[in-house]
Amino acid sequence: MNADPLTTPEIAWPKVPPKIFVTEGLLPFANAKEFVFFRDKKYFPLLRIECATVNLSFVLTEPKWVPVEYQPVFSTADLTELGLRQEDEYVVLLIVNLNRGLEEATVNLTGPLLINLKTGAAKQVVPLNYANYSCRHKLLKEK
Amino acid sequence: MLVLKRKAGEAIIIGDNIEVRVLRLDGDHVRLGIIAPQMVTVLRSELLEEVRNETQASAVMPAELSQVQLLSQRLKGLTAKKK
Repeated sequence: MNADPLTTPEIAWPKVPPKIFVTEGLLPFANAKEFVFFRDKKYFPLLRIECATVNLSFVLTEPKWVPVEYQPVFSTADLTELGLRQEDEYVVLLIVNLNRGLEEATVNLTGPLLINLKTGAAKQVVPLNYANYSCRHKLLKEK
Repeated sequence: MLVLKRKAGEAIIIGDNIEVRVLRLDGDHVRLGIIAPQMVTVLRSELLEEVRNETQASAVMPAELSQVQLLSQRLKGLTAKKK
């Protein structure tokens, strides 16, 4: 199930560490701290993370797949906490919500996951410019 | 919880460099002015609650993986924006 990242030009997974450590836990799940990435070809460009300790799984995607200009600004407190100094040291992934059905699928632009590529340290952060974005941004345009 | 009484124009200081000032009272509304360093995120508490609820609602059950696959196909049909 856990396919390796593919190198064909049409399939380019984002760089992610194999595991992430969300020291404070995701916002509603304080105990869910360690997650493993699953990159399965059939779900591209969506990735899955599964919690290593609790039965909890999320679907994530990169902002480039979302129909929006997304330029989150992170606080220096958040960047410092994750040991980040410059942009090429982290990846930003968005949590997908499929709860309301396929056509109503959304991503959370106000609570992205900020991940240190080298250490796997991660945090669900609210960007400083959160007012520009929605926590339920539609992924698919109207038919 | 610490409870302080303040009048319009008065302020409280949190830590070394955060100031919260009561600017105006208007019925049951209070207008606050906040001075804080750029590194501190200042949020309305409802926003954090909204992000929390949205994250909770986004947890995926194994039965929903077919939906994930359908969504991935739809996304692949759209052109990925250049990074």
